[in-house]
Amino acid sequence: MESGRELLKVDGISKAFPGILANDAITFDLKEGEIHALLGENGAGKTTLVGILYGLLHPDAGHILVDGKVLEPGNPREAIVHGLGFVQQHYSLVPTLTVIENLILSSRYGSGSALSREEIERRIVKISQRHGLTLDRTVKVERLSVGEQQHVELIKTLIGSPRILILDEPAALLSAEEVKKLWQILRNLAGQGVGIILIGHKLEDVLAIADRITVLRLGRVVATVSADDVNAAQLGAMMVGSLAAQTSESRPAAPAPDASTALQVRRLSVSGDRAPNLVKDISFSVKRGEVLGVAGIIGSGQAELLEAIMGIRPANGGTVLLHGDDITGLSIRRRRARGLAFVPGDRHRDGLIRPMSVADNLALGANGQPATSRSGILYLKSIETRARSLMKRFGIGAAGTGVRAATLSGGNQQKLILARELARDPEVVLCCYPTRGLDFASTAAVHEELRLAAARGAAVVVVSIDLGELLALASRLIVIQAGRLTGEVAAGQVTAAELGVMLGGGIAA
Amino acid sequence: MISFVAVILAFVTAALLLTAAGQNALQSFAGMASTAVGSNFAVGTTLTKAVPRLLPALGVALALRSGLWNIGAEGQIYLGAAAAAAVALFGPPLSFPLGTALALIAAMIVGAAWAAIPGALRAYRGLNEVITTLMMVYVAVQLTNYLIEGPWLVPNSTWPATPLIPFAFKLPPIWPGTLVNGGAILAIVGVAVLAFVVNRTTFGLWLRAIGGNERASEVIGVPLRPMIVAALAASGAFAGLAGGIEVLGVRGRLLEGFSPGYGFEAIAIALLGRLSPLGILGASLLFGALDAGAAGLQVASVGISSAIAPVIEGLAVGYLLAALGLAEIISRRREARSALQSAVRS
Repeated sequence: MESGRELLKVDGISKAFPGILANDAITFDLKEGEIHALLGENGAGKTTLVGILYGLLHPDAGHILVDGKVLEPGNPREAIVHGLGFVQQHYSLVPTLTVIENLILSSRYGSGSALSREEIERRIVKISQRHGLTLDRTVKVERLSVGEQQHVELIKTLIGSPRILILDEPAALLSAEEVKKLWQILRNLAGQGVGIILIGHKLEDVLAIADRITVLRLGRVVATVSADDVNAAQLGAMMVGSLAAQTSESRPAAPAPDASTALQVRRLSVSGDRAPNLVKDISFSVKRGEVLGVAGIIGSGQAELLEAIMGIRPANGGTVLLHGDDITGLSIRRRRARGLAFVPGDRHRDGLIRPMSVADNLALGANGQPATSRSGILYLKSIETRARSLMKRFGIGAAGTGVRAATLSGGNQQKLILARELARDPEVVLCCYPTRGLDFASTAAVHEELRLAAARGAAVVVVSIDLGELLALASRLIVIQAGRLTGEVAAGQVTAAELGVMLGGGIAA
Repeated sequence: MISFVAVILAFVTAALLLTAAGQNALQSFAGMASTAVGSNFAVGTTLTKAVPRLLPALGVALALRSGLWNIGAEGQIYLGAAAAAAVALFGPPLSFPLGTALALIAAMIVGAAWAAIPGALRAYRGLNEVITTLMMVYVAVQLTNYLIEGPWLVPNSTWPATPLIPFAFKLPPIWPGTLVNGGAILAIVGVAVLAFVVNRTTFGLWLRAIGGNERASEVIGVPLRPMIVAALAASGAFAGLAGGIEVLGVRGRLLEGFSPGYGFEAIAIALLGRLSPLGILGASLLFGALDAGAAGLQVASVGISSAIAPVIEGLAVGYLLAALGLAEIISRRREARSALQSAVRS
């Protein structure tokens, strides 16, 4: 398979966004019939690269060549005409339409050329037979499983007969059984000469299917290796190596040996939005001044766990204790009054009131504090003074306290949330993906604030998929796999690579 | 600004319509102006007709600040009026300011309670308040009609109305020679109250937070469900007060169909005023003037229906919504582009 003709070459692609070099001279190639995986953590630059391949983004430098011909950059039609097909991470299907209606919709009004209904039906039958897909075409998409929906997406793409197929995190939401089926289809396609680019961050997936693997880290290519020549541990080290090295100078502060337990979680079970009983029977405790890291691949239930501790999501079972008091039945508001603070994973959805000013957002966090209001009347002057001093203390870059939160950059929005949450000197800080999407300066600032909060005596829980971040912040780590607590280690006793293997689910064994 | 342009466009369009119908548009507008602003009495009529639109519009705006649609101001007006009439007709025989105050407070409480029902249904059962507030209008109007035609009917009457309320409960006139009564002062106070509540109180801060991002507000610790009930209740209190003022200040009794849809016009006024208290004051004065002017139309130009007034009102709101929709599309495009970029960045 490896000996095929070169189909696609990505040659020195670079793309900068304000404050971050998302792609830095990325070069790799794809051969006919090859499955080539792009592996990297969040923020490694995978999504930017896909955007450039798709023609949604205009690269600052570099070329994409198909069959040796340079593609016009920043033009989605160009990519499709040259035989590139994409299966996006987020499906773009209309749930209330049937499978066939969705397929007609996309081929009529989507990217492909308009085909007659009969022609589309004919092609679907052909594609389904060839790949052993048994889809009922007359059923509504909303009644399909995630895996089946992905098959619809796949067929949608295959109707255009692409020679190069690009899949973004295709296994992220699938069950093990569905993943197996998907791999079978992809091997089948590769056998017919289609070149496949697979984007992912799961080691096991990539090793199971890819011929070659290109590892990205911080926008650069670390290496391109043959899948037969590496193991999971080596790949894990390549993925996380550099960040862990960079931030490891500032060691996490350990709690005082006689520190009392601040937060205790006992046998907590929580449902996810789609998955009932996503988090199963998890127990742990955090001391004052301690930073506990929660490691796990994305979607393992970590975010739901924090939401349940905060009272945002009801617990199916178990208890949450703060300084020994049961707070399981309390509202979010009561828990906050008791000293819980929350930094949500989704800044826009859960973190900020974006149409409101910086000062108002900060005032919301100070609810009930006499400094900003008394008997329900706001003290505008105190709110303004307090906002100004918090902006300074947390380094929030904004033109003034009156500007809308929506206009701030992602890093400054995150600092705004931290300022709102940490200004109250909370007892417990629950933090989800605290530096997702942030550049290095902002990341360092956020880490420093969390360390300071712990130094002031807060118990801090940090959920992150960035292992380097967890090792830089946490003095103790727990590992969550598929909603269960599967391991606990002291931060000093484990490297990022070893941790990566723990998350991978026993590949090392 | 955008509202101002919409109003101008509405008048221009109305002029075109009048011309197309073979009428002299300028003459028609002059006729409207004479009964809307042409004399002290005309100005007084405009003010009096603005009041029952202004107060419910302030309420609608308050609810909308938290993202909630109070479509049911009309029903809250009717029940507020009924409550004020009940206190005046069947309450203790009080002397002037006390009795009036008590009747108006009753009007506000009943308006608030009526609006709190859809608020609670929304907060604790997830029912869409647009539907429930609207449906409860019909219940409220029929309930009021029942009271008027049934137990409260003036004896030996062929006219569906209650007896006149005692003089001591009435809102006194405040501008001799016009219809203006004390309700106008209360309406101005209402403008100030709304401005203060929204911008200077914790309640207002929470209100705006919920309107900006309901989910994040709850995560930040805003008591979301009680706030939803409270926002709609406060909204209903404004509408209820308007109903009370109509009974105590204008009609002197409760009668069937006294509101020709003030509560529905209030929604248009709140939008035209862009939810700002002063903007709403301006918009309701405009609507009041159009209503007062409609009477002058029939005098000025034979054959022109007074229906041109609501046509202008409708056009103004239509233009405004079209302009706002356009602005929304433009800003969404911009936002989608930046969202794509930031998604790609992470």
